[in-house]
Amino acid sequence: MTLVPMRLLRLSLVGFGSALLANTLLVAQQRVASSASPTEGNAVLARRITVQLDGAGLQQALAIIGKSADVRIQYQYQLIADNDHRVTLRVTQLPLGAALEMVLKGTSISIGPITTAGVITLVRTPARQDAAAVADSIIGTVTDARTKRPMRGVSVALDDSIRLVRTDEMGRYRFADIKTGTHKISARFVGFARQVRLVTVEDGRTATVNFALESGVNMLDQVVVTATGEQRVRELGHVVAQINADSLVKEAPITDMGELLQSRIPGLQVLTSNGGVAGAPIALRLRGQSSINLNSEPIVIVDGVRYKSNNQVRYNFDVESPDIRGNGEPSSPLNDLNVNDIATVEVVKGPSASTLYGPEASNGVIVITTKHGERGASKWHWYARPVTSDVPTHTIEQKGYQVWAHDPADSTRAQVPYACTLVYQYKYKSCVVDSITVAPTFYKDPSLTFIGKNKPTWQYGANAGGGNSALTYYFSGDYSSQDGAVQVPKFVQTAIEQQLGIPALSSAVRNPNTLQNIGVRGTVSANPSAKITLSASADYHQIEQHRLDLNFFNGYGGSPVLPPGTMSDTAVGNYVLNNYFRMTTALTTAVDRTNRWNGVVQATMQPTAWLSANGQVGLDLNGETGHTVLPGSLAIDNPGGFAQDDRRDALGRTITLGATAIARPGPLSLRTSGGVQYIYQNLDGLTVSASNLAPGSSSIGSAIDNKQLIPYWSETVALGVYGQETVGLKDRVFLDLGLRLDGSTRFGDAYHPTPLPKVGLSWIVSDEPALKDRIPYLNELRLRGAWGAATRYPTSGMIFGHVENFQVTLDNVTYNTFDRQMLANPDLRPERSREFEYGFDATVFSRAQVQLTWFTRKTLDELNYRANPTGLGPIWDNVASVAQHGFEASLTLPVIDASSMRADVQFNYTYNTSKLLSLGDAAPPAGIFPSGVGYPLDAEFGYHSLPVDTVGNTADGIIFPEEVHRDLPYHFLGVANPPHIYTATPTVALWNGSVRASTVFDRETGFLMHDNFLNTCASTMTCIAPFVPSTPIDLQAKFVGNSYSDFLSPGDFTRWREMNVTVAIPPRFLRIDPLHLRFASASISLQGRNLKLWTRFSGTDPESRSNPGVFGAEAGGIPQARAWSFRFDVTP
Amino acid sequence: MRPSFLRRCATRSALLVLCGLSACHGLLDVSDPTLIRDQDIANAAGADSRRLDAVGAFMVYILVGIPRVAQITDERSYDIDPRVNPLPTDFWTLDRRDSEGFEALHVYDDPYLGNLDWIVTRTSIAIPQVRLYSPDSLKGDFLAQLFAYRGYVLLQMAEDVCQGFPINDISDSNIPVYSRPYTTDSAVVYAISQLDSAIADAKDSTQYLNFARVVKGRALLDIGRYAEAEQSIATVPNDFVYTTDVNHGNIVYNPYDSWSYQGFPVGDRKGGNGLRFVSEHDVRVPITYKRQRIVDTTVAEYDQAKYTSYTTTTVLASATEAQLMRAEVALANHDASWLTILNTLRQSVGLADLADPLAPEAQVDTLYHERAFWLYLTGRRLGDLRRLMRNYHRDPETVFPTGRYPLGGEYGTATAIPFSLQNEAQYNRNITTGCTTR
Repeated sequence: MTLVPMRLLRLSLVGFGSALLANTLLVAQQRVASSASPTEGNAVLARRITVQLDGAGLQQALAIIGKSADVRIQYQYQLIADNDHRVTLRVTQLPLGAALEMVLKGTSISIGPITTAGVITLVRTPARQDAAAVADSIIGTVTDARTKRPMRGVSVALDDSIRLVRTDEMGRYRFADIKTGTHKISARFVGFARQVRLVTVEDGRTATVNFALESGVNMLDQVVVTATGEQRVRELGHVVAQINADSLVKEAPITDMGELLQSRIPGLQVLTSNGGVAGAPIALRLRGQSSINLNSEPIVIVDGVRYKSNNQVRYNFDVESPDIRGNGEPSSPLNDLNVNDIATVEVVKGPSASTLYGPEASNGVIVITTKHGERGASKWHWYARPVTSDVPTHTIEQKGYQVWAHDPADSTRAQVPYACTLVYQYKYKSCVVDSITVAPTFYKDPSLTFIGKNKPTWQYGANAGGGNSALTYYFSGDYSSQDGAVQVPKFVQTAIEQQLGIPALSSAVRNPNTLQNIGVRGTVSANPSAKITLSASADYHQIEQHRLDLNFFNGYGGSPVLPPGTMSDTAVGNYVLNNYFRMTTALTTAVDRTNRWNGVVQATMQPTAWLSANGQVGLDLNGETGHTVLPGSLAIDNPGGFAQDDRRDALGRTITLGATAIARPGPLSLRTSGGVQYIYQNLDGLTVSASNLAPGSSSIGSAIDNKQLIPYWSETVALGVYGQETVGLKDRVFLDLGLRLDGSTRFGDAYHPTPLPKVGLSWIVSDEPALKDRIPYLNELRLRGAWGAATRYPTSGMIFGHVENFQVTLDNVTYNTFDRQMLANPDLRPERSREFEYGFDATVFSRAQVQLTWFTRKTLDELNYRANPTGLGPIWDNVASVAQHGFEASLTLPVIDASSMRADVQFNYTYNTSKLLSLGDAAPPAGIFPSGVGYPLDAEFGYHSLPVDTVGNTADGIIFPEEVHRDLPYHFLGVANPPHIYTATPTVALWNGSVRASTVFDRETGFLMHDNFLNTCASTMTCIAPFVPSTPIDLQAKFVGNSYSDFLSPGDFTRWREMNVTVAIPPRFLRIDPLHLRFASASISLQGRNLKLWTRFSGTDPESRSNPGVFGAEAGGIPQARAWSFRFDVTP
Repeated sequence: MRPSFLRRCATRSALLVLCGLSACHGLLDVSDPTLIRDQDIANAAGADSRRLDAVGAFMVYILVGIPRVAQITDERSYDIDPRVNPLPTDFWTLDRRDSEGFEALHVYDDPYLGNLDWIVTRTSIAIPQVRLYSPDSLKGDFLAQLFAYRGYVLLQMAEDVCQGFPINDISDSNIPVYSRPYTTDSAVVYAISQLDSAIADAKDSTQYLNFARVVKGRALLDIGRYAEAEQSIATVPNDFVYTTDVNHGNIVYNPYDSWSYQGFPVGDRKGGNGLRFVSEHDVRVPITYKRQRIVDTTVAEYDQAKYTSYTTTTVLASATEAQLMRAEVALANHDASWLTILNTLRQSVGLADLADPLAPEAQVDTLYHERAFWLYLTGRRLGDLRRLMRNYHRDPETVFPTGRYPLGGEYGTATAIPFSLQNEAQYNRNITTGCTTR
């Protein structure tokens, strides 16, 4: 049976379908050039026609079209007989060539030569180019039923996922080498209802099955990439979230992976550091933090290969810590990836991650699939994205004050140049305030501020993909350049130059905060036979980061003021330099150069219809060198200078072999997978530092003193085998069982590997015959649950202990000594966690979608740093246990679904919390100091300084140190990370998507951050409260008590995270005739990021953490930058 | 819990698969060149490096403790400079008053005990290595050195830390040995046993031998065994001096030491009971003018000038101290030579002879005044004040600083350096209370 592509041809081309139109014209021009002069052929095919065909036969349709264009169309009769089908076409003023392409689409007929008399010849499409000519195959196209535009990336499955393909740019798909008989073909795509067709393939013939998908929600039929291959969501008992990066990156203000992941997935949090810094590090958390001491980052898999995604190294005490090299902080390796090369991102949370991806996946997995070429003519895509960023400094441009005071013992009443707080006024009587005046802060002065304005980021790139049924390719190139907002102010530069007597500072000093990333990527896929697919990808990035140590500026915890009185520019510069800047730090430059190469070779075989096998071999090489230098004789206070060289070579190797078999005995479906995974990771690093360089030299080789060498080395090999069995009953109930066993060099001597099981259950309730189509407005309902076990290794140093080499100098003789810094514990076991999640997915009113998930996790044998006495050194032990639970919700609501406008809004909500259940023997007795037992892992403990205004038995309104009561003992105050995260993402599409707008709002609540500004406001004189008696005594007590915890305040905030408006350029503007340029499509986007912050937090920005990913609530940093950008996307 | 039979079978079967895979290619073999295993340094050179590690720790941490002792006693005072620290906190002063505050808060880990314990464990690691691997010609002296340092440190703990403190240690196989609470007396006895080992092991080095003898004498005095103390120091030559290593920066002198920076002038009748280290203008306590007191500008403040550079060594034991011990023994025996001994010492630095005050309490005061000036800023003063309480039954409020605290409030009642119960109790179940007595 051959199905007629009726819906495909029901096409209205007024104003839309530009890509198809342009493509058709190009094809037509190529045909014309082969047999007639281009001008003549062009003229013929460009004739405009207006026709209305409803189910006409092909012969009749061609006749009507020819008549409308006043053109004769000739062909052999047999050609029409072989391609007989019905045509529906309603077009107005459409070029003839385009109309013919549409009518002939899906047939084996092409436009042939055009005679000089203007006669168009139709010919049979050459066999090599005509997929339909392949024997025993199924071909077809998938279009959007409403817009009639071809749909790219649609998953088309043969016989319930035995084989899966995705449609190309033109919406085409193809299954070759199909057995004769009846087959079931299904097409699914996010946001569209799944369609299923039955097709009978006859011997030696090609069957055509076309789909026109109707919008609707079919989340259960989405396909996700798991370690065992592509699998339908309905078969999984756990939740897998997906980001369609391919389209999102074009229409959201996204520069890097951190921005791609932020605010998209319930349960995934991107922790940011100081804003406005080029290459600022980030940390990722999935469902919060479960381990007290081990790395809590989820792992990242790119095309099946483990990808180094964070800068964690092990230090002397073998705690994994951020790798801080020289000055500043290195950027996150995750952001080395070019987001424009990514097709999809899937986030695997919960119990299944470890079973499929190994023990280190217990924090979750981020599975990245890069773009591959698609069959068809070469498709180019160009993009450019200029960005301008500004740090909103209003939160740090607080008023500055100048306290005018004198010493009462000084008869001259000379002003005392220090902060004359109430304590010194009234208790010690060492100063008397004469007046307090408002003084200018220098953030607003562009020549004095260390935060620059309008800092640019440029991002350019191009990619091309295409190929044929035997070979596809994808190549891309990308360049980005970012200037950070942090700078050495112009006046300070001048002052330094004058102090040093040099004409100009080096460019590296003047521009100490930049990031450049240039990358290329190539992917080639081949199908040497219908049963084998081979693919090879390679990705190379070269990154250069100029890092700046933010400590070069003393006062960014406050808003420093200028001294009273008129000063010359030079005097101001010198004052600022001497009082607020550390010259040695400002003059120290740090440059990191990274060469990142990763590649993978993949093979997929399908020897039989029921068995497929795949293998992957991948490498991830990350070579970084850093050079930090303060040249000799440059800094007055460090004339010898200083240099540090860092080298980090990280090597990762991943080899995965797996096979999946599918069987359908009766009402059951069995999907059996098994495989073996080998992962090798090696970090080989060295830090060499020394001081007192040769004059004028920046070479560490010329240094004389304080030579220090720190090696970094870690090597881990893990080998795991896994098996998975998914049993389905009538495609409605699925039981998912998995088991994994690992061996690793990081297991302790006494550890006996334990199999890690998982169990998942998925029940499509809405498909039950008793309920199907019987509950009004309920389209889909699924109940799911999953349970799984996971482990995490101790590090080798935790097991073997640590003996460190020192040098001791006794009586002027230096000796090498060895000291046991950390005690060994060969009996260490991995941390063991058990996680259970359950929830449901529902689709109601055709388009409204709800996903709710609850999870609980308990981790036993947590590794804790046993606080031995100082003389013993620490020892690690499996002593603690931690519980977590949380809730994730996702709701997608269609607001408007009209012909010219479609609007949706998506809400995400995340709640997660943890509780330290026990510290085992390491727990101190209760009642002395809170150990954290019974509290979240990120608990903040402290006390409040409270006023008891009783000195002299009178309430004089002034709080002395002895009048501060502390509500001891230390007690729980709150948590450092937000337990509640809300995200709202409204999207609007106008005029069939020609104009699309979206925005993202984030709200995070329930946590505390430290207000460093308020804490230091007395010394920086950015507040008046510490100096005037009218200050409420509660606030006075804080300043007098001066406890860190007194300045913890709620960090709750709402942020306007993203805004985007994308306009598709109308077709009439896609031609630039004078230049003979034609574009298939083009769009322009206006994008904004971090546009507005609403918060009660009194500090600068509750998201600007000093050290993301590390416990603590310090937020004295630079606010997140507000960025505006345009993005231009052009497809020739 | 032992795994079930089935589970074991399943596990081992799977392991066989893994091992089969790994055995062929050594997949699970890795090396970690940054790890130094104990067996790598089990040789003579390794033993010596362990010994030197203990020696280095001793030199550093003994010095670190001296300012702490000076602060809780009357040797140094405290005066805050509001221009440096506009927001005073009670915790920084580490004074007698604040030792109580610290104890009540249980917030910080006072490193005093921990630092001393660090030396104990380093000697515990080094001694067996030296016994096993050091050449015979050096072994005896090395052991004498290590045992002498160990005894010195244990005695320092006994003299300075409040009773009930632990002396945690480490076994030969690097297993922590958690201690039960020690009293002053039991810790002194422990110290004496180590010093006896030092004396027994000393072979060629008279320095270590005499060092151990003086320290042992100090320990015996602490527990009132005067005759034995005198016997211990009987053969110490008159020119004997044992000092810290010259390479270790003198923390009392260090101008960047935060304590000096904050202002820690020489005590002068500190808290009423304190000695007049400034106003007596004694050559044994050299001083230099610093500034007027910040909170009471009528008072001049002086810095110590005993240590004038980073390389000024600190005397840990000497013939002078041995003579002071002899004087104390003589006084206890009502032997008039006690004053002769003191005056002989005074004459050596040009000081006038002292007259005998005759009254027994005054005689003791005179003796301890002399000790305080001879041993100023050497870490001995707290032990002296506590010996006055223990052996001479002095009320602590008559020997320690009392009365109004210069920065407000009153001096507390602490008579020893407390240890952090919170910190100790984390790992040592034997320690359930803090200081049992002061």
